[in-house]
This record gives sequence, C-alpha cells and structure tokens, in this order.
Amino acid sequence: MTTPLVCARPLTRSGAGWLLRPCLGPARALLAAAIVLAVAGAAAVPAAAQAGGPRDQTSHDPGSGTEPEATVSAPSSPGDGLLPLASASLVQGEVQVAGSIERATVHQLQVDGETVYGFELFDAAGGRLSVTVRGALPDGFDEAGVALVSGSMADGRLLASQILLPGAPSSSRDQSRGLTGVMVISLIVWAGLFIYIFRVDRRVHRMEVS
Amino acid sequence: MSPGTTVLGQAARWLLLVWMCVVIWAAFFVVHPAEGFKGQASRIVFFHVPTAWVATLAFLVSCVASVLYLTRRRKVDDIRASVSAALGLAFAIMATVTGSIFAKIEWNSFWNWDPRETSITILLLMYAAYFALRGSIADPELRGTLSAAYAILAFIAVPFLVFVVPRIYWSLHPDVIGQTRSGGGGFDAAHTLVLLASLAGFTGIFAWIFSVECRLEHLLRRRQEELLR
Repeated sequence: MTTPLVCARPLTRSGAGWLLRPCLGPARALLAAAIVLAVAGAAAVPAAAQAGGPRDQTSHDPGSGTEPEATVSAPSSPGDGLLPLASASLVQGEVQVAGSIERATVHQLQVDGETVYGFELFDAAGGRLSVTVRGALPDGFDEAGVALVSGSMADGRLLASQILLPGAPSSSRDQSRGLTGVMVISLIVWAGLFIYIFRVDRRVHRMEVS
Repeated sequence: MSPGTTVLGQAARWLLLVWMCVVIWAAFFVVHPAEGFKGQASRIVFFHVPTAWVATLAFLVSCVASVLYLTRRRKVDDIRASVSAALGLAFAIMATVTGSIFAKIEWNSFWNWDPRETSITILLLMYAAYFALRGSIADPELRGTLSAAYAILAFIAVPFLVFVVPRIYWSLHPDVIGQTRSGGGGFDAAHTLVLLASLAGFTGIFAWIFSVECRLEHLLRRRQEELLR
C-alpha cells in the first residue's frame, strides 16, 4: 500500500483558512495592521493629492494676500503661462488665470442634482472672469483673497479643474491637521501591534515555563 | 531561556517601541516632502521600503532554514522556514498595500501593472502556493521536505523579481536610494536617515515576531504530538 502524496486537508477547511493557518497570532495582527493602515492611507489620499502640485503655488507668506501678481508665482512649464483675465475670456480651451475673488459673486447652484459653485475673479487691469466649479470648493476658499485657477474656457466662462489658493492661511493648517491625523492613526496601530505581540510573548513564555 | 525572559530582551522590546514611535513622528513632522514626489506621497516611502525589505529578508531566512532542514532534518528548521515565509507574505502584503496608496497619489490609480506591481503579485502568489502546499500534506516529514524544496526554488526567483525585473524594464517606480531611469530620487540626508532608522525598526519588529512565532509554533507542535500519543 502506498501513502498518498497529497491528502484532502484543504477541503476540510473553510475559505482561506488553510492559507492563513500558518500566519498565527502576531502575523495575523500584522495583516490587521496592514488593513487599518490601508484605510488610513486611503483616507489620506485626497488630502495628499490636494497638497500636491508645484510647491511654490501654495504660498507660505500670509502677508501677501491681495495682489495676484505679487503672490502667484509663474507656473513651472513654459507652455502654461498665466493669461490676463480680459484675454482669457476671449480664448477657447485650457487656460490658467489668477485673480482676486469677488466675494459678493460667490453662489451655489444645483444642476442635475450636482452642486455647482460660481464666482468672479478680477485683476488690477480691470479684467473680470466668471468661474464655475463642480463639486466642493477647496479648503480655505472662504478666507482666500486670491485664486490661481486652471480649467477650460467655454462661452466666456472658465470651468475650473484645479483651484490653488496662494497665501490661504488655512491650507498649511489643514495639511498639518491631516498629517497629524495620519500620524496618530499610525502610532495607534503600532502601539496596538506592540501590546498584542507583547501579550502573546508573555503568554508563550508562561506556557514554556509550565 | 527565551529572549523575552532576559533583561536585555525586555529592554530591547521597550527600545523598539520608543524607536518606532520616534521614526513615525520623524517621518511625518521632521522631514519635509521630498522633491520629485506629489504632495505628501514621499512619506509613504518610510513605511513601504522597510516592509518590502523585511519581506525579502524573511524569504531569505525561509530559504536558509529550508536548506538547513534538508541537510540536518531538524524540526526547528521547518518551523523557522514556515514562520519566516508567513511573515514574509504578511510584510509583502503590507508593501503592496502601501505601494498601491503611493501609486494612487502619484499616478492616480491604485494599480498600473507596472513591472514592480506585477513582480510582487507573482511573489505573493508563489508564497501563497507554498502555504497551499504545506496545508495539503498530512505527513510532517513529507510536508517539511517538499515545502523546503519549494521554498528554496521560490527564493531563487525573489532577487530576480525584486531587483532585476524592475531594472530591466522601464518602470514608474521611483528608486529613492539610487536613481533609476524614472527618477524620483529626491531624498536628502535627513530623509535617508529616517528611512534607515525605519529599516532598522522594521527589522527589529520582524526579529521579535519571528522569535515569538517560532516558540509558539514549537509549543503547538509539541502539544499536538502529546495529544497524538
């Protein structure tokens, strides 16, 4: 009689239990930590993406908030020059403009169940431009004096795809708050993992002694 | 005597706790976002690279223990091989998850089938198959022998998949230690210091969990043998 090389043990175990069986105790905790980190990371993705882009466009100079020409640095790629507001309203396609936000013109609409915001930008040369934003306005918009808007022009309106707020006092604070949140989650995950392994370690030691 | 009972062992555990807390704090608040990365994405590197490094180390330990098992036929080597492979798989999953989050921020997609992503998928499947193999054989001797042979063969592919494939093909994946064709090596001395500290901390975590797991598995097997008698 020959011994079968492969027995039917996997069939007796449910789901992926046979696969995770060797990952006892601490390794299982590691996987749980990975899942928690993934959730934390996924939550941090929008914040991180928002904080992205060329660093000089998020001004750290709170004193310069009213004059667009003074606060908005030139875009990095040579083809994407800032257009004056008066010229931007005459072109079609992708543009990038900068201007002061006319607070009195900020309004909200519901179009096909979608929230749409609108406001006007003005510059020192007297140019004005209507901007439409789909979805939420960026953090710090309420306090910002100046906006650097990228998007596409259609019928004299700029449909914004990205809004940067140079010198907005809340942007770095929000970023710092987001980072603190992710750091606290990471510390909690690490502390939890440490306590868990520490307890398993002590229990194993007690079993070894007995 | 288990390492947990010595004063030095206890001190090492508390040092590891403090060390990793400092590393986490430094990763978020001491270093600024590195050049060449979008937003805060460079901070993930302090956790992604060490998990990938520990996964590779764990697979190496598993291979060495498997070679020792085939030459010495000691049960403890089989335990070390399986525990190390399990930890390697867990850390590789963590590396994949953190890498996916990085990819979402940098390239706006969680998965791009980049050479790195493809090679880690193959690696995960290879070591998942290792546990499928272990789980399918009842006889401990046969299980130890076959899985040891498999672990050695699997590890031959690890350096190829981790180090060679991403360097042969053009990859989006940045190389923070040495510049690759895709760039992204914007790490300065402070970043490198935090990264090395994180590498040391994660290696310490691996060593600790490995030790606990081996002792636990040893106890479980001993109990199982006692029950069978």
